[in-house]
Amino acid sequence: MGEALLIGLSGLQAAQQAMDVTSNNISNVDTPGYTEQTAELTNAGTTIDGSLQSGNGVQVADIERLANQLLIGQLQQAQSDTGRLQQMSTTLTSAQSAFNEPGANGLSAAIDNLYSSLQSLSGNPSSIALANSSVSNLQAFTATLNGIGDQLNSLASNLGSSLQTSVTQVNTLTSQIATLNGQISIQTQAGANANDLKDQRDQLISKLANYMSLQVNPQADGSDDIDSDGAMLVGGITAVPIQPGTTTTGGLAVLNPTGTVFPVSGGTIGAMLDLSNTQLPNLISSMNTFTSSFAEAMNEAQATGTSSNASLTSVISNTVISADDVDTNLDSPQQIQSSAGGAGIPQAYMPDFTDANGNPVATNLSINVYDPTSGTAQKYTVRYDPTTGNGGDSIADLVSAINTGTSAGGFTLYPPNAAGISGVLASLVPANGGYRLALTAQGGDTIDFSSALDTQPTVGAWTSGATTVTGSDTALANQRLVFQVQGGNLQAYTINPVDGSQVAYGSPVALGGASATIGNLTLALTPGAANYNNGDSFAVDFDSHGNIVGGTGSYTQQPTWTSGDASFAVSGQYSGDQTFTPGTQWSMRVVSPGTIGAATGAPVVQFTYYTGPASAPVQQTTQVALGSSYPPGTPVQIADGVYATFSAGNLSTAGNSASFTVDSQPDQAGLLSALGLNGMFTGDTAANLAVSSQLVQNAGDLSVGTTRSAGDSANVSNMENVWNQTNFNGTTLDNSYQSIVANLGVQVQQTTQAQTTQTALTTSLQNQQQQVSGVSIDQEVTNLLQEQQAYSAAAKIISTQQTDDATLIQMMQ
Amino acid sequence: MGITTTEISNTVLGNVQTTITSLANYQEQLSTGLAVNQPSDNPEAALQGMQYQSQIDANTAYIANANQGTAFMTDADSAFTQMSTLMDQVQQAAVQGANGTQDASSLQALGQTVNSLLTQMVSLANTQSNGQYVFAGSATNTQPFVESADQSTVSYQGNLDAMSLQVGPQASVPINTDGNTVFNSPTNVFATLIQLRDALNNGDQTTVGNLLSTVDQATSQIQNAQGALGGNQQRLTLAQNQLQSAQTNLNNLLGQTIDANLPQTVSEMQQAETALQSGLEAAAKILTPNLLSYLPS
Repeated sequence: MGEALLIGLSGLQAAQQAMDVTSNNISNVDTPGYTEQTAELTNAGTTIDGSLQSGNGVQVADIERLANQLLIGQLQQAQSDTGRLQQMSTTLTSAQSAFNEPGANGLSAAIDNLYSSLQSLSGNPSSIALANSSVSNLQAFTATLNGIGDQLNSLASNLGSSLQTSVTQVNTLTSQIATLNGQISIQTQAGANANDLKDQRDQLISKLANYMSLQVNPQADGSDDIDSDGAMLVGGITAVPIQPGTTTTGGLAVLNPTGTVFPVSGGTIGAMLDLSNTQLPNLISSMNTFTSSFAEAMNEAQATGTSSNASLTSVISNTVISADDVDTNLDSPQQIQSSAGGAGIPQAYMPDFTDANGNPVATNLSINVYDPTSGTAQKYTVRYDPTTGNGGDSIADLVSAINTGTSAGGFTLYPPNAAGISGVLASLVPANGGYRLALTAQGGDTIDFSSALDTQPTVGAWTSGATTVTGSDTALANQRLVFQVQGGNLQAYTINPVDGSQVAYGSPVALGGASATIGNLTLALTPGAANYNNGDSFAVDFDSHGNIVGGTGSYTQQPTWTSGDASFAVSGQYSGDQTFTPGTQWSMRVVSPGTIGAATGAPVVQFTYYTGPASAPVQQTTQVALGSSYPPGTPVQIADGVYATFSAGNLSTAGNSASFTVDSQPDQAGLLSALGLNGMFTGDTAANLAVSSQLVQNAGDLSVGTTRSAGDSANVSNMENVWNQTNFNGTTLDNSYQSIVANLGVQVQQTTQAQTTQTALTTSLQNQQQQVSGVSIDQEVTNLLQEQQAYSAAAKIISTQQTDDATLIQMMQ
Repeated sequence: MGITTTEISNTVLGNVQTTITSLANYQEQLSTGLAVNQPSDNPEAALQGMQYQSQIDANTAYIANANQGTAFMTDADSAFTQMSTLMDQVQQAAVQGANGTQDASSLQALGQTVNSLLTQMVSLANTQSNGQYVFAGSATNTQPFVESADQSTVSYQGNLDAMSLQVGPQASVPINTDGNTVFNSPTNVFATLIQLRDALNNGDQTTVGNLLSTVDQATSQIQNAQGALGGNQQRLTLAQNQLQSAQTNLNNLLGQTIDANLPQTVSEMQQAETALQSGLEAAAKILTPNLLSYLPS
């Protein structure tokens, strides 16, 4: 009797519960992460009455989450892929926009403009206005390049702060997940379904998947363990706190609490690590290689050229040699600059004193001292020979060779001159953490390092009268004493081989008499001050006892050119391949005396010169009678663009000779680039390249020529050739830069396309998941109607039973 | 289970977003006139476009060089033409002077003529183009020929260096002829004129007669130099023509590579607009109704 009532009741309760679940579904139709639930109805068992069985009604066995774990896993993977691609796409697109290509504001246009301005300059090389325009274009180029370099660098450093934020987010999420794991585990053990907590946890895991690629391993107690690339991130109720850090190479890394690397490959964090360790460094490094290749070639062209407007009375190196490395070889790895702006030689500009096989080889550096008044120059060659001295190539050795003609190392000066390069002082100037090399010319002369041949080879440094030094002085032990004609006086000084500093010895004496005394030394002079030429100098070495080296007690310096003779100069643009060696100096010898340009009795001179490749010089001679075809000043062709001119006058003595240096390669070892002497640029990276301040202040110092002729634009052609050479990773300047941009474009395009595909995939997965777990109002309302009907029916059972009961009771009354 | 409203709105939103993105892209193309606005729009076209642009910029510089070189050489050429005329007059004077019937005073008059021709010759040898001496080698700011005060010698102050202008990446054309080659080597033009003048002034008809062949040599030396210059002028003109036609080609290629195809872009943009509108209308219709709308309340 009562059973029917109870069955009815079970129906009412079940329908009510089902309606609760449906209502809950409808209410949560827009709740993010909500998973549709259903009430699982089962019959409530049977009552066995003898052989009869009858059902006990209905009951709600479980309220089930309609979650599909496979889909959830796929969606998490899709989310981490989307996160990774988004991050890649954002950063790479920013990198791409840093280049501003294609367009008038990009580096490509700046490079083109620079080329055009150099071309204009080559048409009118002595124009200061055009030189200024070229320097402005150089500045526009460096500014554009710096813009790119700075933006790429800041993209890299911004990744660091993004990583910091992301890691904080990850740690928040993992600790929340761990907490939920604990709660879910307790509820599950108590037999409850914990559906809402699981929804929350799935929601958090899905957020976490955005940051990294995850493996979720459900446990029996209902908790989820989470790994990233095999490393535990969440285990039960424990979350592993990760932290941002850096790798040994300076890229970003994610670290365990213990400081070891925590592997992350996917998601936004995976993308950040990839960008920071691979993509951006590769991009920055290819831009830096492009920059340093271009700068080195242009620096070398600028440094080894000159112009009609060049007016460098002193040059100071941009490179700072560390105080500890003054005596270290310049090509030693110890000299490599360790940090931007610090002491040392930028790695890209290291000098090379070796041949193609890496064996030490002799190399030359030309230093010209030009006198703008006379229009002639003295040409010196500082030659590094690994077999000379101790073979060293330190900056101290270089300074010593420039100041004293020789060094303890492998540098020697040609033509030999114990006073070093006349009128030029090399010194090491203290700078941040080390020294800069400074070369200073005296008496209004200018310095250049070109192959220019405006040379007046007056055969050595001593054109003055014969002079003999006698005596000894212990104060001069192991010193080099330089005698120099200076303003009608003869003065003496010792010279410091390291920094080139001079210390006066004795007092200067007036020239004119036949003898003089300086310090403890006596001098026999050629009488008459006119026999001494200002600036002439010679050096005398003293041994450990203060005696003149050689042991004879005196030293005599003889003139090497008959005084009063016509002077002889060499000019031209040398077009051959010879490099200077002491054994193949070009020379001129007077064969028979006479007056230059005379119709009868003209002098005959013989030139000795070398042709052929530098590796195999061939000696040649040619004799020229300087008769009426050669009035004074007329060019006398020698060979390969080199010619001589003679001033009016006599060549009085047969056998007088002069030698001069002809060299096609003024800086064989790349010393000028390495030291940053008279360069076009300072710096070696896209972010720090700048136009040399010397050029900015005085555009006339732009080396348009290889000679000082106003119409010489040969060096502009050398610069323009930088555009045509394939020295940039095997391709040309333009192509090298353009492929960097195009490759980046391809990367951005691929990433963006992948992102579009990935978004479509994610949407599709989300739709599938919605179909499984989402709430469809139509369906819920249908369910609700169904459940209402079930409720009504169950109520009808009770009402029917009640009617039956009432009937029965009435009958009983 | 089943198609849910969230799913429908996700799909609609996604599609609308895609259409709006492509609309923005079409608008950028139309506003800049370029199909390639970032390298990633079409990396290959961007690369090619940059290469064409660099070639165009370099060609512009080469064309400017060629124009400048032409001006320089035209000035030298017209100086040469005048020199030839002068040398003809010198030759006439020499022939007249060598003629045995001349008396001393008419010989001196011829000597004065030659002297004035010499002065004109020196002045032509010092011809300038745009402030640059054309016969000074590369010493373009040095007056190349200086006559001594007593008019007994003319000395060369320039140098022997060639100047050339680039008219292509690997192509350069020499634009100058140094004065030493034109006037001093092997025949010294000025010395010849001076000797002729002096011989005429001194009434030394034998020397005048002897100098006739030297004057011939000097004349042909100048004409040869002009011929060599003419050869280089032709090279320059050829290069100019080539550069101009290359420039037209390159500009066309650049346009084809990176310019937007306006009619196509406009029609594509209209299609995208239509798609967007119909998408939005459909969404408005689909998102409104559900079962509840049809249940009696």
